[in-house]
Amino acid sequence: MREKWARRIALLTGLLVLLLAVTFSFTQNPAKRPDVTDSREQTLPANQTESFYLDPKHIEAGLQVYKQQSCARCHSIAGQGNPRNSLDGVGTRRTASELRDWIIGADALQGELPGYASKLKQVYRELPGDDLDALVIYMQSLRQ
Amino acid sequence: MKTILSVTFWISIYLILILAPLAVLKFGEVPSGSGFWWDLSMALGFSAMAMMGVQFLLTARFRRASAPFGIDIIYYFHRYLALIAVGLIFLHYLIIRINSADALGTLNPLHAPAYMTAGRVSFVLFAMLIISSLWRKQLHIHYDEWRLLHIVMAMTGFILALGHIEGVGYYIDAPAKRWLWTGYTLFWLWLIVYLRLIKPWRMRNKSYQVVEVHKEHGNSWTLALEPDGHKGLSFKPGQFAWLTLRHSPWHIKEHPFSFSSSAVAQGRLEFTIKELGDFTRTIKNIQVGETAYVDGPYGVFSVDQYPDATGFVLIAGGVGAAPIISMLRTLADRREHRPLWFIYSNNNWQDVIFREELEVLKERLDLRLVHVLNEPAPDWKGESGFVTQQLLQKVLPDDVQNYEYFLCGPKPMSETVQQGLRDLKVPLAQIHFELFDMV
Repeated sequence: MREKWARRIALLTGLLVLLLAVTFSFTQNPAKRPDVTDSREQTLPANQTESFYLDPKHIEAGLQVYKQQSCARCHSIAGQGNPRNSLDGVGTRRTASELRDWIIGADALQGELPGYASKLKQVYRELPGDDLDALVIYMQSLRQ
Repeated sequence: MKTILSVTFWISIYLILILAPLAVLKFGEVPSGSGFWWDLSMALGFSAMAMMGVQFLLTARFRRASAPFGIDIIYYFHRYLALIAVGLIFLHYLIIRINSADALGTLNPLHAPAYMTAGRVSFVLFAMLIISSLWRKQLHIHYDEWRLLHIVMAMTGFILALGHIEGVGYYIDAPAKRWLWTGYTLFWLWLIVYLRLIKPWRMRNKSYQVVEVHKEHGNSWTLALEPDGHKGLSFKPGQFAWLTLRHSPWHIKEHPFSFSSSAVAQGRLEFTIKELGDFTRTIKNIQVGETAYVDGPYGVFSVDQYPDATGFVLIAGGVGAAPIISMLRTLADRREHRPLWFIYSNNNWQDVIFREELEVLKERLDLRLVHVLNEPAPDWKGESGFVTQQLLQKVLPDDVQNYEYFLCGPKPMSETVQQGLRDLKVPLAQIHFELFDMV
């Protein structure tokens, strides 16, 4: 009898925890207002993104590097991966050298990149040159 | 009404403790959301982590923590909340698996980042905790080993989960938030250090000596201890303590037993223990002069919790009589006037522990004693069978609502009796139950 009540109350508590977690998530994700833009969504001026040729073999190699390094842990592309840092269209927003800086957490980005992220990215400085190049090309292929 | 308020109060405290980390995440600079499902998964992970922390608190043996509920309720919560917490961890994983599986990365611990492996191992440990606890006997895990395993797996799982959260770095980039979250989790770990290192250290100078080991009816033994060079402890009749025999207080080799002696007797402590399990079968080998450690008293299963009660109805089966006899002996020493009933169920007359003393106690107290034998000899003139609602109705006074009921016995008996008392309209808040065989 007492066990039955303890079970019921524990279940109720569990449901309340679930409900409050859902509420937390709701409040963190209010419906987006259509007129809000942030600086990262501005595309590069046309003369910096005009069609240059990206070798499909390099794009494919870059994609493999992306997978091997499990970039999806922190980034998402086309809805796959961590939605906190979407890379959709990043090829139209950043130049190749900017992309390289962002991947390796270059010192030049000190203000823009949070400290813990910068620390995490240091490890990508160890990537073989070819891999890093391919990854940049893959990023460039992500166009809006 | 009071019970409902009390329950609501304690559930609210519990929810505040669980959701505090999530509230902390909302302080200061709040980054934009990552999508409903992702954030929900994270929120569930944090909540489950907090629940695991509170699990340590639930079983941490604070003298006052069990006060509004009996120890049995606290342990039931510990068990059911463990299941729910592990379920939430699984949901945390499942949402990401369905929503954006790429974010999980490889399972291979050689290639996966340490914090992902930590999270996975942590989940496995918590699942093993549950399996080893629910099915301890079927898996033939000795009680002492089970306790040690439980503590080690819980602590390891908890620390690994902390590493997982640190590694993922969700929302805890601001130093203030990080310290709040870390401090919160370190508190739970400090509890372990206190219980497992500091407390035994304090106890090591407060040992007891075994002064008597005598055989009782019903395959039971009474162990009497006296404090060795200190004034011992005082307890309320019906309470219990954790007893360590033949080991230092640091060994996870304690076993909970109810005091069976009178609470009025200073210093001397008695425990009446039936040969039922791994440890209790060794009691008969204990020698006078051996050292023991006693961590207690604990529990709210005591007539002293209800000083204003008009009378008490005590119901026991087998060795469940131990806390009951403590209450009766104490009440007799205090020259108690209030009416008492003791319904005592056993298999047969030979098994009835304390049967001679109960006759004497009848003279010293206003006590109505009803023996119930499950399998009596043919010449038995008293009640037979089990303690059913009919028997309760026959034996109890008409004004059932006026008394406090104390129940201690094997599970099937206690379920029937609780149901029977409820059917007789005894308020649930007046029925108190001591749990002997939890795991």
